[in-house]
Amino acid sequence: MKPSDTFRIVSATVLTQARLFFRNSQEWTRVLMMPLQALVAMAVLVHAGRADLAGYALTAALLFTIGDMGFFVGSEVVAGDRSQQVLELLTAAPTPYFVVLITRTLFVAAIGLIGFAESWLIARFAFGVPVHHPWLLTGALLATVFAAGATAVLTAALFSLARSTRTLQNAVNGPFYLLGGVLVPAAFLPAWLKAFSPFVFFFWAASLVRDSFAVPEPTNIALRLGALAGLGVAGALVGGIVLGRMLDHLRQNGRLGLA
Amino acid sequence: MRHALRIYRHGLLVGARDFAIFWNWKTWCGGWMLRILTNVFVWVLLGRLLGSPEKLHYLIVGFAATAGVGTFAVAAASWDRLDGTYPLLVVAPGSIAPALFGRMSVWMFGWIASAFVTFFIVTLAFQWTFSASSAAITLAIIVLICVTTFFLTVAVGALASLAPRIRNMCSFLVTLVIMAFCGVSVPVSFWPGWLQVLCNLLPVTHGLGAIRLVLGEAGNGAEILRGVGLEAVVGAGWLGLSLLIVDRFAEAGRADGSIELV
Repeated sequence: MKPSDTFRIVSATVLTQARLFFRNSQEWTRVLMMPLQALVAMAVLVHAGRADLAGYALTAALLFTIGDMGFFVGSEVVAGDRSQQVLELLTAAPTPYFVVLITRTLFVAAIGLIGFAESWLIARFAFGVPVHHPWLLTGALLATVFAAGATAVLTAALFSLARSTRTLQNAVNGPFYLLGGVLVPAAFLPAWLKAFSPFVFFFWAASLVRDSFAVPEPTNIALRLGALAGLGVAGALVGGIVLGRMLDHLRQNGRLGLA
Repeated sequence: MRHALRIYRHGLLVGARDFAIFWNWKTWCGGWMLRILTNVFVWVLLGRLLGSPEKLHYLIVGFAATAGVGTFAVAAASWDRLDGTYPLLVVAPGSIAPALFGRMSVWMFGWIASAFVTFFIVTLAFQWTFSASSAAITLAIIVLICVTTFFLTVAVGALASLAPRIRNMCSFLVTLVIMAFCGVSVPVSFWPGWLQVLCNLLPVTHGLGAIRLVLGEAGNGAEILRGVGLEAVVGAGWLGLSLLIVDRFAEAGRADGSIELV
């Protein structure tokens, strides 16, 4: 594929996903409700006299939204294509389905940033939380969106085979949030559970985003951003392999077009 | 009344089929409970972060006793519209209420089970023990909270079924409002006065307060009974409101020809 072709396909895919997304008000739920979720976490901290930890509440709000968008909405992409009978056409087209899928999951994860903007407005104007390291925050946000969107390729591929997508969609993000220390840092988990945390991209995302709200100069930024992006790449690679296998399997069974 | 009960029973059977589409016992234990428990732990760990056993216990009671409460039911109120069975229910001679209550209430039994299991596991995980009688009273009040919340979801669900596209948003909103304003995460007194008035009109608030008294040292019988009584009154209010509006909404749809619209 020439670069200009890739660009054309990617922009067309983004446009399609945007249309699908904005037409479906259901998928807005998580973005709209995010301030309320931030408010709950903020209320607990403020009530305990720890308004200084407000950054934790914001970090959680951000990662809940991006994570929910990626896992909940992004994971439905393949299953949706299948039930709407377009998966056959997409896989028959010369563009690898992987390119189309990852473009869409990345777009959906990026929508989660709107939830963050809302939470930030609340934090800034209702609770007066400043961002101390805006560049770190920007970098961490972009890397998080990348990791979430890339990981969603894996979950979307896995879920599309399952009979009940909803069941899995519901179950997957909770353990990730807990292990990743999205609200309370993973250091507060029991030791045996903590050992798994570095393998969850939320772990790196949460620590970076929290640091950008804290006064001290953050350390090891490159390493941590690298780990976050690396987990994203790993998710996308494994997702690509699983997706290929899954499509082959469906092709062999003649079930590509069946819901 | 006898007919209503029969209709309710059949509605419940439809609900049981709905439930079985989402969950079997394996996915319920492994998928649903995993989600609920991890979510509760995410929040309860805040108590550990704040380094206060008192806060930890506050969050455990709040989040464990309401674990899963309020989920699915609001959305379930719209399913008859989406299935195309709604017009038939509207033209049937009886009230639509027993059918609707039946199909929705299966989720209430799910909440009771979720909250029981969560309460048991979370208190065990944090090695918090209390007497058998306190535990029994707590479980009884959890049942009451689930019932009162159910009546709220019928009212909200009836509203949401006017615009079924927003049903999941309404469902999510109900659970978040309970989490924020009904004494789950912070005491109701934390919020401004006008909001406190609204909090006191919502289910969960008084029942959860009663559970805190039961499990705390300072609780006396009269205060606990008062909390339970207020919770029951609030629940009755929501039941009355929901009975009042479900048939009105159905009739309005019949009048302007929108009962088949989704």
